[in-house]
Amino acid sequence: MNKRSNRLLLLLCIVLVIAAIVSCMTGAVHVNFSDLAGILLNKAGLNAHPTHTAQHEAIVWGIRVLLSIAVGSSLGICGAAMQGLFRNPLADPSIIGVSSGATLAAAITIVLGARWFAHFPLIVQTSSLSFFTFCGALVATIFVFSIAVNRGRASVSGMLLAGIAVNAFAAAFTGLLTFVANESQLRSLTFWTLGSLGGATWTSVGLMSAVSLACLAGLAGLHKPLNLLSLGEQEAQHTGVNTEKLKKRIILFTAIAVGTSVALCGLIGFVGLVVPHLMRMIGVSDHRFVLPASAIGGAALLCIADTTARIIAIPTEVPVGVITALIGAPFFLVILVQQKQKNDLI
Amino acid sequence: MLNVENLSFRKGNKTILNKVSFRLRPGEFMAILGSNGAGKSTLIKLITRQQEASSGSIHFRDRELHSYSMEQLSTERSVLTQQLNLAFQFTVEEVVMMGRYPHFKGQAREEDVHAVRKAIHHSELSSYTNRVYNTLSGGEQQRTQIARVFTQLDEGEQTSGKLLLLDEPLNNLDIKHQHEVLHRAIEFAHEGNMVIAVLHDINMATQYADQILMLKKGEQLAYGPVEKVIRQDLLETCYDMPVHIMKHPQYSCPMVCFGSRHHAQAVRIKEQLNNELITIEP
Repeated sequence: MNKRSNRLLLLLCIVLVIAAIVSCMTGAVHVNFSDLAGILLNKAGLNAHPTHTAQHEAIVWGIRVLLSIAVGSSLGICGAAMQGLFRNPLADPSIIGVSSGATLAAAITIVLGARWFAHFPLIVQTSSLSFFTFCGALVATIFVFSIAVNRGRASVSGMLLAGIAVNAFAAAFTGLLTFVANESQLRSLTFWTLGSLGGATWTSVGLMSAVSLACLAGLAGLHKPLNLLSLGEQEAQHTGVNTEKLKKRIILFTAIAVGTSVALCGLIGFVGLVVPHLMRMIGVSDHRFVLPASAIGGAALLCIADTTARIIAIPTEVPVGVITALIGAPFFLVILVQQKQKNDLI
Repeated sequence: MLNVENLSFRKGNKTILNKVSFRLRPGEFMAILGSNGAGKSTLIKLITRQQEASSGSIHFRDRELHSYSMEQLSTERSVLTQQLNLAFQFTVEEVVMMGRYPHFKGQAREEDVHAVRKAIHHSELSSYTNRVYNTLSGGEQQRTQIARVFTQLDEGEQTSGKLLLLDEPLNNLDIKHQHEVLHRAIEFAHEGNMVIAVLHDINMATQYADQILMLKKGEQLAYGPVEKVIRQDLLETCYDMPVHIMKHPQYSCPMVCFGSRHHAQAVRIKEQLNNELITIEP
């Protein structure tokens, strides 16, 4: 990796750290920097005279920052891997049906499952939504992948077309459920499709962090095969890449990571599509840079978006999916226009 | 050695390739000739295992080709396909370095960087090293891909017994670079390696190749040394065109000229046009 890529990665890390610190301090209740430092030192067993309140400590350790980093990094790296796999900068995880499958499962659980789970305790009612959403994401992805497989080989264009069909079907069915839903169900469904990190708990953070780390470990090492795949599938095979194994690995990690994130936080669009593309435009196309940069960039973007979502309409909160698009889209357009003026390369 | 015996490929009831056999020894350069749809690219796909043969066998260094893993083959044979497009914006140096990927894990070693520089120099791309591949002309892109496939097999002084497959390597190249690419290919073959190239330019094939395999509609029309295969009757059968063979004025190899059934008509139209132009002039 060249010096420029290293410098850009370092810059992204600094942006992420600053975004995380600001996120810890900002919200409906303001925590100043000395309180933040005191709480962190106290947690590390280094501060003998803490001056902060228990409320401040609960806010700082309110774990939303960790959840945003785990979800953002997963969405970013999965988006980069999907774009590499499909050899298309417009690809994102939703292309294989993972998001639409999850949305359909969520809609079924919210609209039709209300009666089934009504007699169960609240914890079961809440976790059933995450569980079925995750299952929906996995089932849709497996279905898309199995349609695309012919004589043991998965066709990338087949996956793309099957994904379009599954997305259309799931959207139609979700629309039908939205039509028959009552007002309260409709509100839950709308809020869920816009995404939120407000439901963060230690369990969800632990689960998402474990999945995210596994995803980063599983995908970050694929920079060489993904670079070769940009030459073409046959060319990658001639250079020793087992493309079938590569496809399965990327699809599996994407389905699990994106499925888990959607199950825990709802739909958060834009991150998986634009962050990797943005990294390619500001940096280089080598996946040795693009994969880690997309993970760090995705985490930073979601962290900033979550902070903005919390402060933009205090005391209420705006759905984070709206903010990711509001922040990312103009930024993306500015870079796009700059690139166009620079060398006509888009 | 590459030993291909009775290789056939059928798709449904249609025979695409029928009982093709040849034996390529280290140090040899074989050109595959034939008109469109003769089965040249299919043969390359069978040798590269992109498609499964319906019958017949391929032995590479006395071992069944299927007994090699893709990873093993990646350092022993490289393939230039007709694909030139790249999905993302890589520089020329990055594209050529991709040819070295099978040789190292993690960071590129000193010898990998050296092999890349050597290949870039041979392809006259030294001034394009940091240029984005997608901004190059078709010919420059082709030269970059050729540099990549050569660097894939580069093992310094000990490069021998490797197999290089070139599917229409002269596409998009100007005449100077066409000769340079084939010169580089024959040099590589004479170092103890094997080269197979699908060519449309018969005179290039006669100048550079040691062996020629001639195909027509999936059938093997001829196989052997240039002097035995470049015959008027064989070429006329292969291309369905009148052929004249003469001796190259500078080299000892044969030179082929194609006549055209439409040639006489074209000359007549040209003469007519010239006459009309003359009459218009005051």
